[in-house]
Amino acid sequence: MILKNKIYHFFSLLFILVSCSQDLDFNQVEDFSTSPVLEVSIIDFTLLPVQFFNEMGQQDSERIQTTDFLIFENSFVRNNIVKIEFNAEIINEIEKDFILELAFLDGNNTITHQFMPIEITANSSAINFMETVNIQDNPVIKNTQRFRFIARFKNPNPPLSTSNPNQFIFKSSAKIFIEVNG
Amino acid sequence: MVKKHLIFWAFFLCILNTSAQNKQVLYNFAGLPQSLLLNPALETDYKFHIGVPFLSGISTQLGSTGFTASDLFAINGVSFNDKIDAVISKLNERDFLTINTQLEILNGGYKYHNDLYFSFGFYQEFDFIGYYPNDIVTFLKQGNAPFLNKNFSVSELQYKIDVLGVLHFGVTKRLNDKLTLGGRVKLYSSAINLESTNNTGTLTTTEGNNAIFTHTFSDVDIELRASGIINEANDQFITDPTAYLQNTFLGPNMGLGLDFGFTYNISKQLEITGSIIDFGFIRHKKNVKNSFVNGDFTFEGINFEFDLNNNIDYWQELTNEFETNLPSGDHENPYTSWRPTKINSSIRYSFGEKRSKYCYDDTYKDFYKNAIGLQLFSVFRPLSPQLALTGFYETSLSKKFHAKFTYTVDDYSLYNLGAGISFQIGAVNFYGIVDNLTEFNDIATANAISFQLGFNTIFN
Repeated sequence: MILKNKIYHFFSLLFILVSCSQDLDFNQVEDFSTSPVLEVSIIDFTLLPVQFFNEMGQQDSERIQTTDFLIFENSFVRNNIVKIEFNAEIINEIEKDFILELAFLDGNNTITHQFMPIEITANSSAINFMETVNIQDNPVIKNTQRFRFIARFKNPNPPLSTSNPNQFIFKSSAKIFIEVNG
Repeated sequence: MVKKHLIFWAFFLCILNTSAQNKQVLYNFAGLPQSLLLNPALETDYKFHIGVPFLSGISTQLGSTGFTASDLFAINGVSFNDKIDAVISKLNERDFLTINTQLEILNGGYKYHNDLYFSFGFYQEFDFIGYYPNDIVTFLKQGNAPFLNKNFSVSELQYKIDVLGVLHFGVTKRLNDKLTLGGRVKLYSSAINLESTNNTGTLTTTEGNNAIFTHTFSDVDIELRASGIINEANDQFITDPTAYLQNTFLGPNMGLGLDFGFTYNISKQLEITGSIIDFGFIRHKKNVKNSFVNGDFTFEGINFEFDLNNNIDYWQELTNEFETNLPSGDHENPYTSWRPTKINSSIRYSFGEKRSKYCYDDTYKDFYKNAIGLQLFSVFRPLSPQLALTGFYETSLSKKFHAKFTYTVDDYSLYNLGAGISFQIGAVNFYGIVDNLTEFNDIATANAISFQLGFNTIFN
């Protein structure tokens, strides 16, 4: 009988101790969200005056570069991107005023987002440009497949010299704001 | 309340995942047959035993360092994201989650002559350990923008998941009154192995010269190994649960392991023991799918060249550079995974009322009512060995009813109290063990919990 009581009490104690847990709410997982911000270099280049001259030796007033830009084909980015902050740093040593036109294009070269024109005065240094694009306001931007860049000077005169060593330097980066909800 | 408990355990079993593996209460406890799996040289005094199939050994151990379920899921008005942030702020790359579950399907043993005890059986095991990848979580949570010049390291990515069956056969040999030696051969059959260890590599974003930022992937060498989950015949995930179950018994990915142990009686009251468990490996060669990425690469974005004579595909160039400098892919090369080897040792001093126990061979063996001692446990894990020091008190309330109480200091807790009982009615033995008793009044706040229980039939 004593042994029986000992066993009973032991198990009673274990049961009481084992069976307790404070209230927990596992549905809180649904409230989970995270908002990483990725910073990445995008485009850079250095232009010399000689690069505005074509094969015939004639001065052109603009240069265009286009590249595929396929980050929106990544499903994670496409589903979770909320904002892009485009930043550019420009140094213009060339004695001409420039205007830069940047645009995202879709697969048919239709503009999905046109950035504000960037006006660069002659002989200017350390110009900073920033434009924020809210994806929610412009969801068509997710169709972007290409990036087009146009550098144009406003006035062809006086003409540039091919031997002019001055540079037009452009650097850019993007802050990509991601929001993932549980 | 029942549902709540079920959810809690499901959470622990499915999400938390730990790897304690220390069975400090069961070790050298009451001559239980299951103690032989912790030290094949433990002394037994019965003629033979048969575990009740599927019920002879059920054990689960869960542990997490750094946080508890309550830290994340308590109902306290704090937002879940704030709780996550609070937990993350406490964790570092040495914190880990573990789970180990074993289910004995079969366990038996037989004494041959007076000095040999053969034991055998088959059990299934689930074992997981995952270390907290601090830098990776930081990157995923906040990105690289707030962390210029920081080296985000992938070396903290370390995890190991095993689902396997273990067929074993052991021999306990009593050499003389003082010394008993034991060994056990284990045939492992892996159903699932997922592991990644010894990764290297950093990603650093710095201010650039030619570009605004320079992104540097340095010394990257990552491999994620997997076997048993993707059918190599059709490259599809294996979704049939019975296929996994079948592979735990003599499946295609086999391994071999050994246990060794000794018991030495310095005197009638003083005993030392030691064992090495699961010194072994598994060779994975079927349904293997390993993913890798390695190399070095510095990335500064796209550099326009304005070359009128050459229409450059910048994006493709960039993709090619990535693939050339940071090649990634899959392969099905066989690989070897090592079992987490455990080491047990103990010193035990028996005292108190001296009793005699009737043994199977019509003799009587003296034993003392009480015993105290120390145990040291270590398990080799990917980052470093985990250690646990246990003090214990064992008492026999009768010849058939034993209890053991332990106090353990380990990675999870400095005040882990455990308790176990073993009693026998007729030939039927039952044992039950719980750990971390001080936290069982609210297991949601426990860093580690474990239990073991089972039924055996023991014949003298």
